[in-house]
Amino acid sequence: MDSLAASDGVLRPAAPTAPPLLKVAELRRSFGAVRAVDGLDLEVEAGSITGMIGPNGCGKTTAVNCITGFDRGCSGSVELQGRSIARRQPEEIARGGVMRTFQAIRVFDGFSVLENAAMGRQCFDGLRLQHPILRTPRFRQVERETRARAEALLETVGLGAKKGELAGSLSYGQKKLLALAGILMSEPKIVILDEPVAGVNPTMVHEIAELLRRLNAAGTTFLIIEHNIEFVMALSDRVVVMDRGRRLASGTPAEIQQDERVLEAYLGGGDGGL
Amino acid sequence: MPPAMRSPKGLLLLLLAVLALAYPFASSSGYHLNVLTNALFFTVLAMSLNVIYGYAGLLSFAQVGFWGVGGYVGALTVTRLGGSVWDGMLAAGAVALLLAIAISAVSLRLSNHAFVIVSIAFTLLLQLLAQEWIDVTNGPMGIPGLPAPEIVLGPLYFAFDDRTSQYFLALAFAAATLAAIGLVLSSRVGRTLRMLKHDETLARSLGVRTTRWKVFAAGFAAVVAAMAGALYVFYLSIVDPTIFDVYYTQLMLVIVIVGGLGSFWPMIAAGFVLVVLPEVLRTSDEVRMIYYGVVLIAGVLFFPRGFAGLLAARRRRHSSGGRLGQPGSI
Repeated sequence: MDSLAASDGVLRPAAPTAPPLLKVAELRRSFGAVRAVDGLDLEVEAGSITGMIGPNGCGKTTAVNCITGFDRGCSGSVELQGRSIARRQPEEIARGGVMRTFQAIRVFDGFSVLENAAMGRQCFDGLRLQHPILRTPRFRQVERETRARAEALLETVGLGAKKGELAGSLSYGQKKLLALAGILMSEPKIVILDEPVAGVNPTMVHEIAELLRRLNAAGTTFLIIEHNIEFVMALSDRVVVMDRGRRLASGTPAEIQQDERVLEAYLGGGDGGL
Repeated sequence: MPPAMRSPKGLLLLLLAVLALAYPFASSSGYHLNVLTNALFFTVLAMSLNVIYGYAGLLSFAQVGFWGVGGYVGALTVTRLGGSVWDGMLAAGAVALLLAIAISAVSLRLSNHAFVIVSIAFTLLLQLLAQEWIDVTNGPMGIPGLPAPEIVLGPLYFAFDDRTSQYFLALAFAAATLAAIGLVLSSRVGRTLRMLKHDETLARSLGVRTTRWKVFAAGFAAVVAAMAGALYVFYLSIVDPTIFDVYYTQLMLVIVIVGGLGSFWPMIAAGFVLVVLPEVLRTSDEVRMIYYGVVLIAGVLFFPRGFAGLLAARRRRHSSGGRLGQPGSI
């Protein structure tokens, strides 16, 4: 992959010659007098894992809702591969290849695990209305591909044995994995995970970290919003620290750990530290 | 064995088809046949509500409006424009489609709640129009003396002008319409509509153009209701403002809820039971509605998810993971 330089044997984002995959500038969102996001700048390089951390209420989830179009009241620029996606409808942004999970996890409880995964691809397989209704040969072909891909991805995230069960019967952590599998069905350009390990038991946190590493090595770009600092530091190529609605600092995990502003404003402030 | 007989469901269907076809020859009662014909029409009407409410999750009071629009457009196409009954049905479907797209596309820009309110206003407005626009609709008198549907194919001529042939026409219409709806709802399209109902935000995050799908559901449901309404007024041979009566709305809702929102076969069964039941219970008009009420309350108390809910547990035991988009998975 040419966006990655591997000169020292470590995968790391290339020098910023190409424009970043996702570029957010001057993002703002206010609720009354509260400036939830207050001029946030953010770049995500293709092929990277970028972590975003920050104290509670610093505007991380609001920023994600702005980027993915679910929050309609934001201003600022959001560019995907140099093209503006700001203020588009969320489904159009998803179709453009920006996929997200939700902090309060969402799956279709009444459908099987396999169907939940398959739903992630149905808007991307190029079939028009008549194909599924008339069960055309092309539809059956696409359906076979979708099924094979869904089964493979469910294997990858460790839900292979659960594919026939109702999604509603899964545990909280398993639902998170299912949501991730569903998103990956469409081969998105960037996956934004809103707190992927919040409320997940420590063993599973480790498994999810491993899974994300493998998926990233296979080419998926991630932007991860998370409270679990250890998790983000261990996983990310770059880390963005958010504070009061803006970017306080950004850099490699090592740089962030040395950054005095960060240590002072956030990490050193009796919040568990590093 | 033919494929239809290999599954219990196929066998049951075959049995029902034979029964439906043989019934008029076994019974000489025009009254019974009339009840069954009504059951066919109302089941189709209720299924149209099921498409938009049971599947897409949009409560619509406009279905009776489209049913009435279909009746009037069908009647006027024949009486004013000199078209055939079939032209009338097509015109009814086309007009309903345009109206449905107009009211849903506008109201859904706001919210699902706006759609519910607009759907109520739409029906009330149409009823008013039917009563007051006397030049066109003939007001409360309605348009009587509608001709019977007829088929002219060269030298072949057939008129559906008696109870038995009208029953068969209604049966053919209901079978074709329900089969078409079943084909759509059992496909991925039905699944997409259910995604909207269960979690619209999640559906959008997966790229589903939710507003377009809701407009699709509204349009589809409207076309079905309007074509059924058009055929129904030729069965009655009159259309008047009572076609917008709240009775039809109540009946549709009860069928869909008792059958089970978003179900298919249980809803069809409910359609027949709930149209035939009040007739069976017709001891005296005063007592009849009490029986009906008791049965309804008992149904909602003991089977809160309808007939479909009763069958769901059993079906779940039989389901495996491999039902992806297969027909008949509803």
